[in-house]
Amino acid sequence: MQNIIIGQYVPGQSFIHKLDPRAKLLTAFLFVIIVFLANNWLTYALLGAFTLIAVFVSRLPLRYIYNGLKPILLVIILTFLLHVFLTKEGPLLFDFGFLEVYEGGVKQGVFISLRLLFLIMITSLLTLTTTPIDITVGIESLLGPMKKIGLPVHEFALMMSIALRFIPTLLEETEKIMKAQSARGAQFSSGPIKERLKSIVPLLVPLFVSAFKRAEDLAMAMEARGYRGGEGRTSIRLLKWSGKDTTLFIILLMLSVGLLLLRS
Amino acid sequence: MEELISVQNVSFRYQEEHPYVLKDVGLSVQKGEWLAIVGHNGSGKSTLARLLNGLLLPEKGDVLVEGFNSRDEESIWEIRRRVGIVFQNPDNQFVGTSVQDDVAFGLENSGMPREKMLKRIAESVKKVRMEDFLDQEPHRLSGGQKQRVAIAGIIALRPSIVILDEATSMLDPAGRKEVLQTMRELKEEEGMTVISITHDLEEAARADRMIVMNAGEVIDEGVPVDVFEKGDMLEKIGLDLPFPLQVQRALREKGYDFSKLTLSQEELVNELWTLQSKS
Ligand SMILES: Nc1ncnc2c1ncn2[C@@H]1O[C@H](COP(=O)(O)OP(=O)(O)OP(=O)(O)O)[C@@H](O)[C@H]1O
Ligand SMILES: [Mg+2]
Repeated sequence: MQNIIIGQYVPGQSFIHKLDPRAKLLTAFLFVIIVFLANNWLTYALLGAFTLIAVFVSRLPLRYIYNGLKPILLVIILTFLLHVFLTKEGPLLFDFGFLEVYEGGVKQGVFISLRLLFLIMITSLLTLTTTPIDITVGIESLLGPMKKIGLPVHEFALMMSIALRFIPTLLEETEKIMKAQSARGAQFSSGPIKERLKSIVPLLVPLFVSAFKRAEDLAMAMEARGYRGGEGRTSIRLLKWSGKDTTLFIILLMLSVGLLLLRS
Repeated sequence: MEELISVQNVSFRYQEEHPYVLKDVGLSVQKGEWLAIVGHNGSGKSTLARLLNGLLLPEKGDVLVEGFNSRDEESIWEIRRRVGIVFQNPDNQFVGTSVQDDVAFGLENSGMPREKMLKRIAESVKKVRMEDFLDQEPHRLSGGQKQRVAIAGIIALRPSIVILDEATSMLDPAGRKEVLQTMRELKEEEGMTVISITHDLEEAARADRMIVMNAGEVIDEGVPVDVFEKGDMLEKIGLDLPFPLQVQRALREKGYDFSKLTLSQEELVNELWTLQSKS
């Protein structure tokens, strides 16, 4: 349960850990776009180099990266196979009679899989090196200008941070209720599906009741401490854009130009 | 003595056609005192607390905090800054994702510049002895620690009055002791005014003054020893007398003479020795 609590964040002191969350968010966002510029071996190699260097610089144990990839590994393999068997371009490589594999198919399969792989690696790198609350603060700051057109940016960020704050509390409570109900004979992890689903109800009802009570209490406490919306509010969390962040930005710019020049 | 809060003939109900939760309540709070408010469940203590910092507004009567009337819309923020409330549930009033964030919450609301906030936070966590926990997340803190953080968040705003609304009732004895100790220090060293709402008459016994509420009315008010003289009345409205008092009352019924009631166990023991040597 502890994993959910701090998200996937792995504490560290690397260059990437120390970057401004805004820089990381922007990088991840831009990366998602420029990944689609790559269309030949050279450009994919360039993206691969960037991704691998980023992973290396983060000094994260590789198993964390692998854990991030695991859930979608199947998707990547399936995508690969689909392209290999269904794209009929270029010279024929194999012929199994019922199946024909063309060179274009293999190429497409490899490219699309790599694209997915890079995307997942870069985005997991973001969540692995940034605390959820920093991500929230970063998003709030980046979307700040949108307040002018009436987007409830502050409210959204506050909601996120309160959710982050209460996830562990509610998990703890769920565990407690589960134990209480198990003591009364409820079965959560064995037995027929129907029984298990039934046993969820006496779990959810008290959980919801208490969550509403908490929400009410919290609103009262916030008001008592002078909360009156985002207007005129200052923040204790300071985001600092430094040389490191600008460097990252320039690297990303160079990467984009490189991709544009090398793509065919 | 300087009067900080004055409650004048206040009546309140949550909804029309519902019965009044507070009926013609009047009281005043003096600067620097520790005022205990006791009363049975549902007697309106929390409601009163909420009226004192403008979370609720009286239907009849007025609530004045250092001269600000909670009915004036502009006064409400002045009042909330002056009167802080520590609520009962340690978890449900912890807003921030870390101790520092939580203590900062009220300051952020007031629009204080960051540098000043950091100073205030450092100052107030030190006063509640939580300075080593600044980056700690709430689920790694004990109930007592969370309540101390809540106190820090309030005193960072430099209020004149702190209300503890059964702030120790969900804590274990150790947590209760550490929170009350913290508040006593704040009262002694900073001259903080404290209103402590509690079921615990032993805690109330240590107050400078106490108010007894029943069914929305203030039924008694005075120094604890005097109030405890009317033990029957307290028992009738469902409050448990502190143990030393129960002993003295039982002995009195048996004909032993206690001229003056004492609230501390130690004094009781001395008193009993005196009786013993007399007989
Ligand atoms: N939000 C509300 N809406 C309607 N009625 C309420 C509300 N809060 C409290 N009441 C009612 O007002 C009365 C007084 O409640 P209050 O919480 O002030 O009592 P209390 O003395 O603090 O009790 P306790 O010792 O249980 O905390 C109760 O009868 C309660 O049911
Ligand atoms: Mg109450």
